[in-house]
Formats: sequence, C-alpha cells, structure tokens
Amino acid sequence: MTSNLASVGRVLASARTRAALSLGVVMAVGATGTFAYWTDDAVISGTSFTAGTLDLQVNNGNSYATTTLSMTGMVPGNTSAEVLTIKNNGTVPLKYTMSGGLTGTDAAAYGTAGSLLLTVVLNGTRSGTGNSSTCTGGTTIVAPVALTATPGTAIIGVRRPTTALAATATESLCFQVTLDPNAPSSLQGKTATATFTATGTSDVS
Amino acid sequence: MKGRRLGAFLLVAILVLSVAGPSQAAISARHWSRLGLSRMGHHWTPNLDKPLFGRHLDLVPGQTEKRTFYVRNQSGEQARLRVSVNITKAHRSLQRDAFRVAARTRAGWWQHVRHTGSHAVLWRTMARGAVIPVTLRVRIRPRADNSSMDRGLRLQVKVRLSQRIR
Repeated sequence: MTSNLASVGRVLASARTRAALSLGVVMAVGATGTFAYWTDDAVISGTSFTAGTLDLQVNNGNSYATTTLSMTGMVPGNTSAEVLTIKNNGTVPLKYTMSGGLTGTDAAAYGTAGSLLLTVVLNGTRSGTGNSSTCTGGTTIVAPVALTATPGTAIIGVRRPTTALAATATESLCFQVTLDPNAPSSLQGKTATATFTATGTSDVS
Repeated sequence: MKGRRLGAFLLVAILVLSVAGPSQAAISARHWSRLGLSRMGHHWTPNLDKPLFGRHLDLVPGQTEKRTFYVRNQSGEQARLRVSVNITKAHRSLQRDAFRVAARTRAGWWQHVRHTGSHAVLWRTMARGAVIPVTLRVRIRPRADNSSMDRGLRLQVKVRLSQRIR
C-alpha cells in the first residue's frame, strides 16, 4: 500500500505530469470560453394605450329638461324654438344620431294627427318669444317632420356630423316645434310631451 | 532542464494565446452593436429612440393600430432572435377581452398576448446579415362595450439577439 502511494506521489511530482495537468486546466478554461455566448438587447420604449371615453352631452349634461320649447294654449300655426348645444365631452371623435317622439296621455292623438312638426336647424338662432319663437339662419338638417307617439323614432337617422365631432367640440342645434296650421280641432285641450335622445358613437366611418 | 522548462512555458503560452485569440476578436467585434433596429429598414441603430406607437394613444372599439420595425443580425454569425412584449398597467383590460395585442413577422401567424407580464411573441434563427420585419398590432374589439371605456395598458417591446449554440 505504501509503495503504491509512493509511486502515485512520484508520478504527480514529475514535470511531465504537472505540465499535463496545467494543460488540462488551460483546456478547461478554454472549454468554458467556448460555451460562453453573447447576447444583445434593445428595449423599445413603451406606449400607453387607453380606450377613449365617449361622452355626449346636451347643454353640458347627460339629460336636459326644458320648458322653453313648451307652448301653453297653442293654436294652429304656433311655433316655439330653443337652441341646444351638443357637446363631445369625451376624448375621442364621435358622431351621433337622434331619435324622439311624444309621450303622455294625448301623445297618440298628436301622433295620429301628425300635427306637431319638428324642424332642426344647425347653427340656427332663436328669434321671437313665446308661441311665436322660431329658428332663423343656419342650415336646416331636419325638415319639418311629424312627431310620432313612439319616442324611439329616428329623427336624425344618419350619423352626423359628416366630419366627426372632435373631442371637446360642440355644435349648436336649434329645435323648432310647430303646431300644424291644419291641425284638427280634436286636438284642442290635449297635451303631449316631446322627448329627444341623442346617441353618440365612436364609429366615425 | 532549462530547455525543458522553456519548452513547457512556450507550450502553455501558445495554448493560452490560442484560447485567448477568439476572445480578442470578440472584444473587437463589440465596437458595433450586433443587433440593428430600424423603423423603415434603411437606417439602422442599436435602439429605436421613440416608442413605436408614440407615447400615448387613444383607441376606440374597432380601431386597429399596427406598427412594423425591422431587426437586423449584425453579429457576423448565425444568431437567435427573441422578441418579447411586456404589458403592464392593463387593469384587466386584456382579460375583459377588450384589448387585443399581437405580433408577427412577415405573413406569419399572429402571436396573441392575453395576459400582463412579459411574453415571447417571436423567436427564430437569423442568418448572418438577415433582416426580419416585426409587426405589432393593438386593437379594441369592435364589440367591446362601454365597460372598456377609459381602460388601458402599457406596452413595451424587448428584442434580444443571442449567439446560436450548436
């Protein structure tokens, strides 16, 4: 056993063995170098995506009740008018449509007679007072149309404006309601309420 | 004895130099970036200095935004490309199926990203000098409802070119 250890010691002590061992170390280092690999990274800085907000307002609110358009004791040929402001209160362009009609106990009577006529004028101004106020100037976008007893009836059926309403932009619509000069006398003393709903969409195609 | 030592020293020195040789070459190769990026495929830089889609973008349902950039292997050897998309601040906008994020190269299949975090969307081998276009797409589904409004996410792209180990 002792002689075996001595022979191992002699072998390790020999210059040739030491050279071979050092060569092994060098080769081990070389092998490690072969397995190292390079990488090159690039980061493309980030973008924040946000779904835009869509908020259509009438006279700066989501609902608006008015008595300006009301007519009490109206007779055939009377008119009333009011300017409403449509606003894009969201962050993306929008277009809108509008529906409307009559509600209340006598809505059907007015609807059947087709005697309450609505006109909408873009950028029109209100002139006159009471039951003789009208929309003047501007561009008529809804020619006189009879209001029905179905509030969901399309009034502005094609999305507008042609060029979408940009974020924060507004447009002015003058609403004029006329009791048809040929309204039947059966409507005397009857009452109805007109309701309009503007619906915005981000589909601006 | 002296001659033998000198011989052993020379042998070791030659071996060390032969091992160190490629490393020297690699060091000199680092003078330019192995990875080249370009928006149009003409001018190459190590990084795109501006975000692909701009810093902020508002989207609406049905809107799709795509951007393409190009990657070039400038390493002088075959390499592996890996493109990752990192999505943060998504606030469940991906899970709610409102936002869709995807990437592809050339006319390949869109690789969709459906969760926040980092996702490898493209990985492939690039030949020396090869150029690969990478297209990213972000959109909101046309039928996304109002609950998607004002939601968002942040998107960052990481490109890595690695030496190919055979």
